[in-house]
Amino acid sequence: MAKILIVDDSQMTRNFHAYILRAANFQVIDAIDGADALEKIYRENDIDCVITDVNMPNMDGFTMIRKIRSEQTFSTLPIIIATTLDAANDKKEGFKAGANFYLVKPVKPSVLIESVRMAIGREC
Amino acid sequence: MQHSGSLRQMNTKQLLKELNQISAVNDTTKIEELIALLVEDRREIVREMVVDVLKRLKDPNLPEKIAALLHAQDAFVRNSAASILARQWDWSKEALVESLKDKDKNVRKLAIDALYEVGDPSTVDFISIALDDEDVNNVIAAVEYIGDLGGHGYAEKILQILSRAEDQFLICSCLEALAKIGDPQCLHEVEKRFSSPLSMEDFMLMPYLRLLAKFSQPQHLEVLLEIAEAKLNIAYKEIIDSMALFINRNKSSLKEHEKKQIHTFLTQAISKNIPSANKYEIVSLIGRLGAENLSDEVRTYLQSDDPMIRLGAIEVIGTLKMTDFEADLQALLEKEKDEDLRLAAIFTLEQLKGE
Amino acid sequence: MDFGFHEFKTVRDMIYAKTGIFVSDQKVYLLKKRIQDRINALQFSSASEYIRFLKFSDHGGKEFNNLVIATTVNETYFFREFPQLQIFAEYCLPEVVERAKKSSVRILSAGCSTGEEPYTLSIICQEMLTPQCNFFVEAIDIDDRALSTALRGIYDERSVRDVPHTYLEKYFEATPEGYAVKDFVRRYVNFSKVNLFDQTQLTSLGHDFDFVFCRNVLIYFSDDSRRKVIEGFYTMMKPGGYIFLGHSESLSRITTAFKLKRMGGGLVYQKPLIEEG
Repeated sequence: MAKILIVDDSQMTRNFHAYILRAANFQVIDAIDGADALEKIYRENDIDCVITDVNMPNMDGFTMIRKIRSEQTFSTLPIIIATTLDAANDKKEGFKAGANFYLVKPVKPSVLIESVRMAIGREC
Repeated sequence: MQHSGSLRQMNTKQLLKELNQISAVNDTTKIEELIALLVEDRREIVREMVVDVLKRLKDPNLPEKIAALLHAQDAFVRNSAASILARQWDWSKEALVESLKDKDKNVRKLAIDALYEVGDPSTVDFISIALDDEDVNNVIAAVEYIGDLGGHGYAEKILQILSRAEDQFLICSCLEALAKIGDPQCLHEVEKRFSSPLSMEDFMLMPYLRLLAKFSQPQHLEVLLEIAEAKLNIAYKEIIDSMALFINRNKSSLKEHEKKQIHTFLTQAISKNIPSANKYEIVSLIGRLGAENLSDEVRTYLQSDDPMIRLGAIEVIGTLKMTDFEADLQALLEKEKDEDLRLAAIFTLEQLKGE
Repeated sequence: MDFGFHEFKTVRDMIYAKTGIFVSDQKVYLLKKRIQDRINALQFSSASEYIRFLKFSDHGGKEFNNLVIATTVNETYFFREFPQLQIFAEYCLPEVVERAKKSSVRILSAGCSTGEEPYTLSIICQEMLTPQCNFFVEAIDIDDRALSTALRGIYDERSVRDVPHTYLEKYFEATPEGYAVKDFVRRYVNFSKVNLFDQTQLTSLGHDFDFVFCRNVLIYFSDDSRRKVIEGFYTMMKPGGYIFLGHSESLSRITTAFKLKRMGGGLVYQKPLIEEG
């Protein structure tokens, strides 16, 4: 069962994304911002995919992705951005930071599941 | 020490010292320089500390300057601006309310986030402006925050939003918020829309379940158990939580056979492959439900290999004042290694002796 | 009382978000009991009402801080949180010595209480460092009584329960009063009274520390002072130095200026070797 880390400062979003993924047989853990997520990625060391928001207090999603990518061990960890930011330059910055997928909120459940499956290269 | 006005030329050590000083004497003449540092400096410790200083400086003109940063391209800068405005609430009210009307939906979203970050229920009335935002994400955020801040006066409005909502995330958000600020009448309205819960999508069923349990009456037991049995594998947390809510709410009016039904479900659930923490909760609920002749069952839990189940049993002994368990607790103390469990056993023994 | 695991998680999440302290599942009973006592004392009608008070009306955070303190066990003993010390001894210490080709190592034990931590660090350094490499432990606390116990250096059975047997023989002397730390362990530790809130006093200890230990101390501080203390440590450390908090404390909730690293199966925080400027 793949382990997915959901990073979002909104509890409701964390819940919503977790419900969707748990119902699709994924194991889910969550983090309240980029700093918390980094801590969990390093501590757990077995996360298969990260889904992250961008605008968050403490540490934003772009900064977090750059930090993940600067570490050799996590250079290929699949990262999906799920944000309300839909402008072209935000998308560009997201991919430049090292994200693999960019989704605009509100994310449709089927799109979320499909993106995770594509990112990790398996069903669940 | 370097002459003031040259923050950018200082090395990290000098700069951090100077920043402390600026904060200590409330040197508001440095605001422009601080903002420039926040925008341009790349040292994380410096940026963080500048944000910290800006949160504390007392100057009525500061919020307006900070609000301009909500438009920043750099995500760190705009998010920090929101946090500073939240902390500066005494003076930032006007700037934030103005930002709620910004033509950029992302700036409006940051303003809503900042209002929530203030952490004061009085911001609800400002946040509620966003319930009419043309952007669905902003409506979702407002619904979440109003629920969390306890804005009971907006339950009706959220119910209306729910009634015409098509987006699934918005629907879930409304259900979760109503579970916090709604009432039995709200539940009644929602039940009309979702007349057969088991055919709902799983991700929507979970917030629905919470709402249902929160305002449930004994007659909801049947549907609750039906959902619980069908979905325990994927939604054990929510199901156990809703059982807890149901028991809290209806305990005194439950009939013996209804208690028995719940008890049977709980004892079955504990044998399933679910996390220990949830098993603790189940044992604790069995105690709260208070069926008759629990002694043998509690004794089994007290001897379980799972420390969380043992902890649940200790708690039940205390809750139900099971004085005949003194010797069992003493025996447990002799071999128990877990410090937290030992403490729980000691407290419970004291409590029993006091009876 | 309406305090189930859901409410426990709500409070636990609050504690983690605000302080970086992770409250384990087993603490649920302790937290529940504490909250029950507080509900009675403050005459709240339910746990939800109390949680709401904590969230929105506890201005200054006093009630919250007391709650956090009540859920943590304040006990200090030699080799406490062994796995973390193992990472320090086997990975961080050799890495720092090797990288900087160092002939001496400086360690700060902040909030050293009755001395078990700094003496433990002295023992570890004796074991791990070659005779060519010097070391020194600066141990500070604000409590005079704790410091005088530390200076006396004699401990009971309970304090040395986690000391490996060979170390107990090598570094302690059994006396009628208890286990006395031998002189060659004490020699490398200097105790002094320092208030962590006093930046001038704190930073006067120097800016060349390779390691800072501040374990299970920050729980007693408010949000703002926690940040200040860590900023102080930052300036006192050499680039590439390591900082250790308690194993259930997360530095990332206080600052993101330190770099996270995985070493020996655990997580450590390092001051960046090069600051981006």
